[in-house]
Amino acid sequence: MRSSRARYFELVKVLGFTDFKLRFSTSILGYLWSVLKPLGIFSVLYLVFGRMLRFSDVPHYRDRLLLGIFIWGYFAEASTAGIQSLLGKSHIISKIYFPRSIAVVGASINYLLTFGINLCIVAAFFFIDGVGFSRYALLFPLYVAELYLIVLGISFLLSVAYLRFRDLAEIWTILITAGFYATPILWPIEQIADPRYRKLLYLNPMTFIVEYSRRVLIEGRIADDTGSVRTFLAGNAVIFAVSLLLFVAGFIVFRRVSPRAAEYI
Amino acid sequence: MIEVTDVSKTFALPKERKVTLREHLLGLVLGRGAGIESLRALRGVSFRVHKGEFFSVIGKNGSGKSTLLKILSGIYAPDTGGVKLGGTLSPFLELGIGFNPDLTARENVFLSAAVMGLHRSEIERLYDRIIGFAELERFQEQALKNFSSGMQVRLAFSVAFMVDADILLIDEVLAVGDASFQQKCYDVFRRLKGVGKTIVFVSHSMGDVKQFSDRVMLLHEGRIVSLGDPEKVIHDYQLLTAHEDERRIAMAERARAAAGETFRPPADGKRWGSGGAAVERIVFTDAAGAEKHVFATGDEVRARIDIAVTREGIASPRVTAAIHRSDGIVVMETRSAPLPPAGTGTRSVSLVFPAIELLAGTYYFDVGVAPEDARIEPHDLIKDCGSIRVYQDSGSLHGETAGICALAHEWRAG
Repeated sequence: MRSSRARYFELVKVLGFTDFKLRFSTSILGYLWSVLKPLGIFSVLYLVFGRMLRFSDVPHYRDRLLLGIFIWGYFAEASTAGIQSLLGKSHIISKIYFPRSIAVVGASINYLLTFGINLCIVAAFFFIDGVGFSRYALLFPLYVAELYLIVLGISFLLSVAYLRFRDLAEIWTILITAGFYATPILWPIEQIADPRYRKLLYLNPMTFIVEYSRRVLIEGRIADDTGSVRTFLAGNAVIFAVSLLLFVAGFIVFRRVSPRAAEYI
Repeated sequence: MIEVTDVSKTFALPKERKVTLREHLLGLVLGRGAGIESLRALRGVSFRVHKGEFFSVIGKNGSGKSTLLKILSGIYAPDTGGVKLGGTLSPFLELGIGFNPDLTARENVFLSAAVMGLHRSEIERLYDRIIGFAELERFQEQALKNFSSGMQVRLAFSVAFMVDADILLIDEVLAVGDASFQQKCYDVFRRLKGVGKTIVFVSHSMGDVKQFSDRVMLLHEGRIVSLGDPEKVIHDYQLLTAHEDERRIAMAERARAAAGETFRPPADGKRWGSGGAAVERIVFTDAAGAEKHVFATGDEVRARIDIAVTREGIASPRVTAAIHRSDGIVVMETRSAPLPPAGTGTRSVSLVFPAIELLAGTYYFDVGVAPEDARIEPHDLIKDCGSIRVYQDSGSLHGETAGICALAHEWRAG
């Protein structure tokens, strides 16, 4: 018999790929939807906000918007799927033992695949719009990893809670919508002129992820307007700590509560 | 090897399940204590299953069997006590774990096998055998939702039996599939038993339990009541259910009597006759005359039948009784000699079986009053007028395991 770790890794893979397949297997355009959906949303938002509200004066607004939408889209979809992962796998959870975290990780892996495809589109847009590749772009995988930790942390915390409180799905949908407008995705963060309010925005970890990803990928710089890198480094430390903390907290709670998951179903 | 030490499990069951936040909040405001019921599914259960043993767990519904299996398989965590497993374990608590109707047969095999712990390379190696065993070679690329339920079950079985674990937990899965497929599954059972797998089997089918088990454990209300030799434990189980049935039926009868209802008028089509005399009731008693509903094979059974003659001129009626099973197979029809002449009024006769030869099951009595001349239509005939339950007390038997009737017989050498 192989080690259980290898076995469980296999299970994450199979569950993740199966979900990915099932998401699109019944629609005519299939996998294309994973690309078409965010592109469609992007087109609408770009028309409304970029053209009509004139945000497109911001340099590379189109690329910034697209990157922001894809990052947020991953966060929204993966966290929603993560929260519902235990209940969604209830038919397996109540019948066989495996570490319950596998269901949660499997759900978010699935959306990581879509996110990967979407990033290729972003790259195409960058190419068309002449966005150069700087060495700072190498920091981007770090933000993806932090984003993934945040998603996992939230999924761990809320997936068990969701078994008891089915309202969570509705509440989360509202929070996601609110978050989309509270994070500088559509509007440039420079819109908030008052530095105090701008600081407030950074209470939201997604602001860091979105803004810093744009900075290293599109602007190709890490220094702020005054030429200092100190705020950037401090911000990175904060977001690293926050994402790690969220993940660890989520995991600890999950470890305590999840052995009883089958009873709550 | 499985070692279970002092395992207890209590479920807190909300009387009304709260699922939404509003309900939870309301519960908090209105005082939630009233809404919780605790169900003690297992109470200090300890036992050992040896390596290579076929170990069956029996008990009535709600006795804790399924909870025990779920604890063995790690799905539930025990409140107290622990489970030690000496080897890898694979539970078949349900067939087709992880099956998804939108995927093809092939994809489902890979998915389900992965859920049960097989590696992709192992599944690839076993795939042809799995599909072959299920007899679904022609349908591999079809979506599962297009399969008949029988085909789905066959596929599920085939996947389940490929899993190569040391300990197998099997919950009542043999109750599905057609006869020939069931036979195949029995063969797999024998093979698994032959290669020394440890098997824990939960079932209501005493035939299966007796056929395969090395030892049997009887659970009742979360406790081990009996453990050991299959014959003995199965007998204990039958005794237990017989006593429970007796209590339940007697209670129902008492409730009916208290309600002033002496005899339930049978449903339409269950009673006919030319009139003039009527069957009033049938009462079963033991040799001492105490009313009973459940008997062991070999017990004395007395059926007292009360009839009421209302028309002058029916001086010497006969009483008839037909004993049959629920499936309509008649064990025996009998009729009394003409009763000694008497006028109108109520009279009783008793049908006495000094040692009833019926084997385990429920038997129904059709009771009638007929004229002396048996060719004429009865005065009154009530289908299913009364019934008794029979269980087999192994002490009184000579090797009979199933059937209707214990015919006098013996086994001789040569």
